[in-house]
Amino acid sequence: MELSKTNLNSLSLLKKIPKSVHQELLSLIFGVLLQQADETEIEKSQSLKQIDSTLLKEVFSGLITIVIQAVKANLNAKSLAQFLKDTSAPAEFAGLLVTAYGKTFQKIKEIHLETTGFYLKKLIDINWRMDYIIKSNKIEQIDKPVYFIDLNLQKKDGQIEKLKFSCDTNQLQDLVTTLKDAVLAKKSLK
Amino acid sequence: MVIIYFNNEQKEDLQFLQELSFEVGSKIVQVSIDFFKGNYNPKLLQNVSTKINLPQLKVERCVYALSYLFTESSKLSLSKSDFLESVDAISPTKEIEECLLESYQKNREEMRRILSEMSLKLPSIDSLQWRLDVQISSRRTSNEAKPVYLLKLKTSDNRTVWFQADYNELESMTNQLEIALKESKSQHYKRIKKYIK
Repeated sequence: MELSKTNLNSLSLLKKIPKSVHQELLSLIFGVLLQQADETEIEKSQSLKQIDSTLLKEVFSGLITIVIQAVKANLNAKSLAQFLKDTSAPAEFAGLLVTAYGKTFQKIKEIHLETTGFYLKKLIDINWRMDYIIKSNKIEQIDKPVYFIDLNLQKKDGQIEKLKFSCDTNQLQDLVTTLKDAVLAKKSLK
Repeated sequence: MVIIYFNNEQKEDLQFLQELSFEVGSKIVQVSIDFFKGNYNPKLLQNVSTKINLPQLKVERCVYALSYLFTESSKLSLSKSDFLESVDAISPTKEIEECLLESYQKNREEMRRILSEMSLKLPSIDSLQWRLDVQISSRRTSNEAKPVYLLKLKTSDNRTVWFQADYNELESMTNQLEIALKESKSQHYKRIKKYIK
């Protein structure tokens, strides 16, 4: 795990925070990570309000970074416990942290990390329609089938872009063959 | 039976075809076909008009009228008899009539192809390329192995779209398109095709 000295320092700073507040601090941290609470909770809490704000800031940001880095490195609760043993974190606090982490790290992973990766537009849906062309104003007696295909692509911010194109039977056959090859390729992976 | 009607102006324009020699007539017919295909050759036209001693404009209008004849007959896919009957209205010489018919039959398929290119259509698919990757890590996550498909779709209006898909979506897309393809062999489609014909 890559953690800066200041982050690790925040663990030793915990000694300056009264033990009675530790649990509340942890609830705040995990609440923020699970997007169920935000920093305004600090104002609402009598005990947290009393702590020196610089100290609180340092500890808060340090702990959040530690948890996020742990999720990024895919640590389970045991590994995190092992890691904390080697730091200056007070043992009781470490225990509480590991317990809370164990319960929530999958959820944190889902919420934050998998939705902020950078990626291309993602295919989410496909619609198709088959028509039979009879005639147009330029040419009559066409008598051929045509397919309209509509792909829904989702961008990172959730916007959906539609990609429409047409093809005749041969082109559709080629497309299906290409896709079948692609699907088979994955089966040979696992 | 479908016949093409020329309006009075066009009939006038095609009047002098009756008096032309086969040689000159066939040259004019050729120019009309080329004009339709988009290869307009004004020099050839100039030569023809000086040879028969008529103003170039008159010959040009004749070319336009003949182009109209070929456009409409290709569009409607006229049979031989219908074509000849339409041509009758301008009563050309027997030789020129034959020349017209021959040019029509020879070039019909290509003219229909050109017309269908000009018709209303959505951009069609040119190619789909794919690549299967395994996403190992990114700035925010590491130690994962997620298969990811990278796809590049090219359409006939020169647009290239890049997108990604995971395995499930790709499989469902393939299934959907297979169903679409089966439709062209279904009973319902065959019935409609028969009914329309």
